Amino acid sequence: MPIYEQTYRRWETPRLRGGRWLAVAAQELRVARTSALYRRLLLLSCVPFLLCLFLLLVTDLMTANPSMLLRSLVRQVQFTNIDARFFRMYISMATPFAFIFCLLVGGGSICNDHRHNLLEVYFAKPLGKGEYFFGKLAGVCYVPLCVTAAPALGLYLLHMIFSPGTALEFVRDSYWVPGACVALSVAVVVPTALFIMACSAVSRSTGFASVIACALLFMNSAFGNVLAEVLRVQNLRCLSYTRSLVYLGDLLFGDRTRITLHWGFIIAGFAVLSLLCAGVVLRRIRNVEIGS
Amino acid sequence: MTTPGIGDGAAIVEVSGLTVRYGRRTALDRVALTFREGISGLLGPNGAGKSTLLKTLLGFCRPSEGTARLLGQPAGARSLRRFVGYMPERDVTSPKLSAVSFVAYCGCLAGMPYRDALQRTHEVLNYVGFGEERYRTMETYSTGMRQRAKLAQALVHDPRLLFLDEPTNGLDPIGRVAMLDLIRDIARQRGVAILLSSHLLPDVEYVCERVVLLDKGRVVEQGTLAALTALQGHRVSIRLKEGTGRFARRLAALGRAVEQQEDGSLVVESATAADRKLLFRVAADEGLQVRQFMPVRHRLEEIFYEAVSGNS
Repeated sequence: MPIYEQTYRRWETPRLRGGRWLAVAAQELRVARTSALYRRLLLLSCVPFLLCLFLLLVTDLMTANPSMLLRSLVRQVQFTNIDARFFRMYISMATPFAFIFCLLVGGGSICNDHRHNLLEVYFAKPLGKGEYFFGKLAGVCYVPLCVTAAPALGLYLLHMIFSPGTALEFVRDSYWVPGACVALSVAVVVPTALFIMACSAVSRSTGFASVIACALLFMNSAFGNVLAEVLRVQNLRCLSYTRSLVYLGDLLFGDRTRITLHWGFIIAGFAVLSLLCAGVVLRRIRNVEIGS
Repeated sequence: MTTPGIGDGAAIVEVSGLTVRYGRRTALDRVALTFREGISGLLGPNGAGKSTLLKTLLGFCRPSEGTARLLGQPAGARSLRRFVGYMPERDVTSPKLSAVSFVAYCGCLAGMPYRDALQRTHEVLNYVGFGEERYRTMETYSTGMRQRAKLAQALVHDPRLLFLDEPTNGLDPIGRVAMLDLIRDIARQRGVAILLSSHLLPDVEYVCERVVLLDKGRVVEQGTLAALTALQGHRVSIRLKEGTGRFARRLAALGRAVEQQEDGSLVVESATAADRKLLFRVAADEGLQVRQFMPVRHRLEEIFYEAVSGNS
């Protein structure tokens, strides 16, 4: 086609049948990338990883060093023991970043499309509400999971590489840690993302959605803790979403906890919250697309 | 790729007994109409049900009664939307993105691989008249540019049927003509069937071949523009160089019904050829020069007001 040819042409290339949710997710990330705050936060979120990487390298290299003095010095510092608690510590450090990313991306995910009348345009294309929903969810969850689960797995691998002498022993003792890291990261990110998307679906702006989400989380946390103190029942702390996450982390990483509630209740609580939030989002989308 | 219902002279849109209700309010009341290839216009005052009809055809509104078929298939089927482009009435923008990103994304949603979508986006943006401003964020666009970006997203996946809801909204006169010329080109040169909804009579008159008049959710008139604005065989319009008043008085004295128009012309009842000869003879007797003599056609505006007032 000559470069000066600017008339309307027919386009006969084959179309993809599925995978539209990937396009939605990629667009969500593209929109998020336009925010300077998001880009700065992306850089800042590397800090916990770099800090843990530094500790891991120091520990591994010092442990490998024949100097007994240095080795015993390193062993004195409790958190430089590379065990399950080290990875739990990393995820705890990365969780606030994951929450802020969910807030930044998810806060505007639905309401901006509504406010700018984009849903009508999108659903006039062969896009289903399920594809749209999963695309948005994937877009919101992608970076938070990259900040929590992916670096934790990377640290695990790096530890095996930098301490070849004890790698087998380490894997035998902590083979469940990668799974626990992924499970805790998913438990932190997915319900949070859905909750913030639901807040976005019922509000008109990103700021408003973020304020609603923060306020509800704060009230929920306060409610759970106050109720537990008043009634002196520790298990009631699990009514608080944030406390439930901590408890789930304790269970997954084998830490001691004062809560005796069965883990099934916590998982069921997260599932109910996720389904409720997904229902709110889908209901909002359904108002636009009702076709078969 | 085969497109259902196009190119074989079949009806592109078939609606029968379609009723759409929003709660207790009836937006469309037993609408029955058929559109074939070319440009068809949906004309009606605000709230007549034009946008509701388009949304029902796209599957955004569920009909209470009746059926609607698009390209030979039940309207609203998702698989059908790859053949349909939609330019909504309301302002659509993705403020933080450029027109390139926005239109390419719409291409991806229509099932185009990203590279194809990007290439096609540039072609379509060239076609609708975008230059380097395509790389600016959409929040900086004027109304005209946003309208053209909206048209580009409707065209990016190469639809066979285009729904345009008030495409000239907010455009200045030059932008309006440019947009209407584009629409005409898409339909006539590229074979895309267009259904244009508007409350602006000149727009519909400028581009449409066939018109459906809607009012209060009902079809009050429909047909080709040529048939609707057919000759009124018994009336002629006469314009004289001067002495219009004298000529009118002389015709009135002869018992002819004469109407003086705002533009200075006269409309005279003239049923036969002999009557017309008489008009020229009178002008010759009075020494007046006839500058224009033409049969009167119905104007779309008259038909519109007549139909709307009849319905109310």
